[in-house]
Amino acid sequence: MTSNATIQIQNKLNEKNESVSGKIFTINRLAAMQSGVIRVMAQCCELDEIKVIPLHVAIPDHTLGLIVEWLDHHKPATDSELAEDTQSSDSYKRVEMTEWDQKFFDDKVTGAGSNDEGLLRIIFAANYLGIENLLDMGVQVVANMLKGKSAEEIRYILKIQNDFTPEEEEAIRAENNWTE
Amino acid sequence: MDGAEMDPNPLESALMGVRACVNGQRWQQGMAQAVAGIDRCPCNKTGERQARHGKEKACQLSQYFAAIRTKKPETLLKVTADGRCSCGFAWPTCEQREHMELLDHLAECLLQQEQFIAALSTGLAMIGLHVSSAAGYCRVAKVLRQIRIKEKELQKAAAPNPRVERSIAAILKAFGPGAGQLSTVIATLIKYFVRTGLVLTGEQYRKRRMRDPFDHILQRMAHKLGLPAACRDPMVKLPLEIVYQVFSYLSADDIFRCVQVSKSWSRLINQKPAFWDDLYFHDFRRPPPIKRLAAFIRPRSQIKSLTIHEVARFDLSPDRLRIILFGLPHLKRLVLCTARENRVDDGVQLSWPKGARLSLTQLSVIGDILSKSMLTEIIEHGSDSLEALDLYTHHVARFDDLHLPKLKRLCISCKGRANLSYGPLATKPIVKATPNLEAFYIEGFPLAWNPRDQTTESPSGWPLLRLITLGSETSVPWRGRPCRFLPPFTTNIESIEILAQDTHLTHLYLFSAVTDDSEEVLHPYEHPDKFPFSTAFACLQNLKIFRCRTWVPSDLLRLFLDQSTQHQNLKVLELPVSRHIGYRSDHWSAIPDDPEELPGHPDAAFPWVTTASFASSLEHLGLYDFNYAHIGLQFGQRFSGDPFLEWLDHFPNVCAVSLYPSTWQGVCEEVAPFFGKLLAEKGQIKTVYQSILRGQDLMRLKQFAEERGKKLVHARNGDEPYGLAVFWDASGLTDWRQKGPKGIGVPSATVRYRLAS
Repeated sequence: MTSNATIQIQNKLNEKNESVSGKIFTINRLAAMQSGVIRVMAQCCELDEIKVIPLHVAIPDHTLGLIVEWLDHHKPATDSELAEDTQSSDSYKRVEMTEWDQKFFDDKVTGAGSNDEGLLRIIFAANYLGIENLLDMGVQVVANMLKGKSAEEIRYILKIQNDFTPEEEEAIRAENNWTE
Repeated sequence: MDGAEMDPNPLESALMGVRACVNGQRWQQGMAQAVAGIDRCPCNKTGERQARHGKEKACQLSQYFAAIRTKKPETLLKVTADGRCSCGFAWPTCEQREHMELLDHLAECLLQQEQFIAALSTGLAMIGLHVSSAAGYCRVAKVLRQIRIKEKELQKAAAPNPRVERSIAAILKAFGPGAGQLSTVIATLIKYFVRTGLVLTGEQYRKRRMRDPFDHILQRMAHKLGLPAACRDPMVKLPLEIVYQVFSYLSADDIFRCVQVSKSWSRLINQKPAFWDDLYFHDFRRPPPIKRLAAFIRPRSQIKSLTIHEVARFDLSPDRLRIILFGLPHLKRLVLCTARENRVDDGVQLSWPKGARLSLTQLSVIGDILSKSMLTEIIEHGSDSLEALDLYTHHVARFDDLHLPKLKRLCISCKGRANLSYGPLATKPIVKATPNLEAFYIEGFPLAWNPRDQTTESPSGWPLLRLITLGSETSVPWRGRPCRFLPPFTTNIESIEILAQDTHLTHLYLFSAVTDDSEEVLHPYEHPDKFPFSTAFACLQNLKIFRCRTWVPSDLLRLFLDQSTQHQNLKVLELPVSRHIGYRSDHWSAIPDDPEELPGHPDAAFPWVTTASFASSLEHLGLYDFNYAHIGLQFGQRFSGDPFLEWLDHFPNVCAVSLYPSTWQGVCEEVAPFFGKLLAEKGQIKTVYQSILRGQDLMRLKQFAEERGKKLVHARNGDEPYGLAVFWDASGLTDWRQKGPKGIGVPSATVRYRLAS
């Protein structure tokens, strides 16, 4: 198969939810193969000669569009490179985020303002689609939101309710705050 | 409306005027301008002045309140989609941002004029205008809040305020049955509006609308009201294994703070002992008080790995060390690092409880942190379990009385600042203490077999040794005759790397056969008749990596590598063309001089390397100190690497090269074209390691390589694909952490090799 071959992915249709419209995305085959789920389904589809791969979990069109964009940018050059990328058994694999990735997350995913809904959607979708590198990058973005922040700042950023009583809070601070 | 035709954006100019009025607190004027501006919105197709909702706004209030009180967002959606007020008036819908802002300003003006019901009604109109925009909900909440404030003022003040009273009555009436106190009614209304707003501005309904600051304000209001819908807590929403993946990116410091965020976070973190398995302390503002440290350690005895990155700031006194070592019975890995020069007091000892043992499998001391006696004590108490020992310190433990049966990896290094006051490092006690060693790295010390000890019997050597690296600053002092300083190879040896620049050391290590006297060795040039040429190198059949930094006679080298090539095992080969960089001991005359004249072609230097059996197995080829310029070594010398490029064609499987031409002034500019040619012409070469390019040249060539899908690596100070990098990521401890607490083991040359190619 040539490296220019494309496949089509159909988002799940959810009639109640307009953002999940059953839209069809066309994407380079090699790029799409970075997703474990699509890899497996593409193999089945090739056998059945189905042209469009249906997804079984509804991902908002906007999110899926972003994921397609990400996959396209990270398209492996050859089949062997793809195999190398995806067959790593090291569960402690860390992915380096390039400048492009950083910009992708800053501009398109987290957006202006403190919206991490989109980020969570990306993580969910990457998790479902089995795109380990994207999942890891999303996780890194979340981790970076927490890095070096005080508990109060984390609560503010993530809109978390402080449910400790003042006494509990004092106790837990005494136990954990000795590094400062 | 004639003026509007000349105005390119009538809505924008109207908005400018209203903004000016609001900023100048000219409310009346602002109201009039806002109303006029709204008529100019493109949604008003006729361009005529539009009909307004009647003075009596309550019909809209009750309609919205009723919809909101059903707690179903769909009801409100239906009301706004319909757009028909209960009185029959048709509310407009429009997605124009300017339209929304004009309405918002209008509401603000009305509010300032204390026309509360009108302001509230305008806010509701904003919701009706674009139901999934957050601005309307924010405005409604703001007006409601203002009314409550006014009501409180009213209760205190003596003078009545008929406007406020009227508004309150209207709201209570619109709220309908079940309305109690005004404050509770308003609190309920705000809560309902914010909650419904959150749902309707959510992604599900938002379609293509961009996020604006009002979304953020709405979120914050929801957060303040404690609405569950405001929760953006990733730890609640994400699957557990992803949550743990997030935490795995955080240092212990961050995790300490995360514990304090909320109950659910603290439960999440404390439930998972694995978070405390691998603890990483760094960046202390001041040393932790001893009591706090003890209190912290006590409930966390399950910690398996502890890294203290800057020991100087942690202040690792014997007391603190005792708390850590004795308080953590399950500690498997202890890594102590410092970048500072510390004075280490040699007299201090830890008082060990009787019978105490450590279960450490790895101890890494990077920097002068522990005194020789303390280090020896710790190693001694962990001797049953230690598998890996990294000592990057001057104060190397005394190995004389140690026995480390499980030790597989040993790194000893004090690069650049070797303290010679102890004399050469005695290797005999080290070999004796570590009978099962598999990987050995030494750097920075002069080595001698047994400078003091003459009596104890010789150890059997390292039968299992697979990897050995002798760093660039190791040496062997001349002792009047060729003496052994390390045990001989066995068939297990897979990787030999001699980066030392001491020719003497290279010869002694590679080409020596043991005589009956365990210390003295035979050298093939000194004893050509007695040297067992046929058997000496037979054990090297499994050699995969051979790197040598100093020049050795070509014919001896061929003999040395013969076995491994015959078995097609040799994959990595790095050789020097000349040893102009190295030095040699003048005392040992048996070592032949290296050629005065540089060979004009690598073929001339190593004629046997291109033979078929050799060339086909190699996958990584490297050359040190080469320059095939034909114009002597004098002033005006230029660099030429063309013969190397020709030579490469003999190796069908080579996909990585490492090139370290020696350094001289201006070498960078002269070498750059050669690297460009190598990257452009040799398609099979995917990775190039070098240490010579600088600045612009390096950047440009890196990009050049990337464009061709290749990699140009600047390999310095342990960044080389083999050598130190196999033992330890010298560029930082990150790699170490990333491997996770899976156990240590010995780095496998084959694994690393696969990565590099």
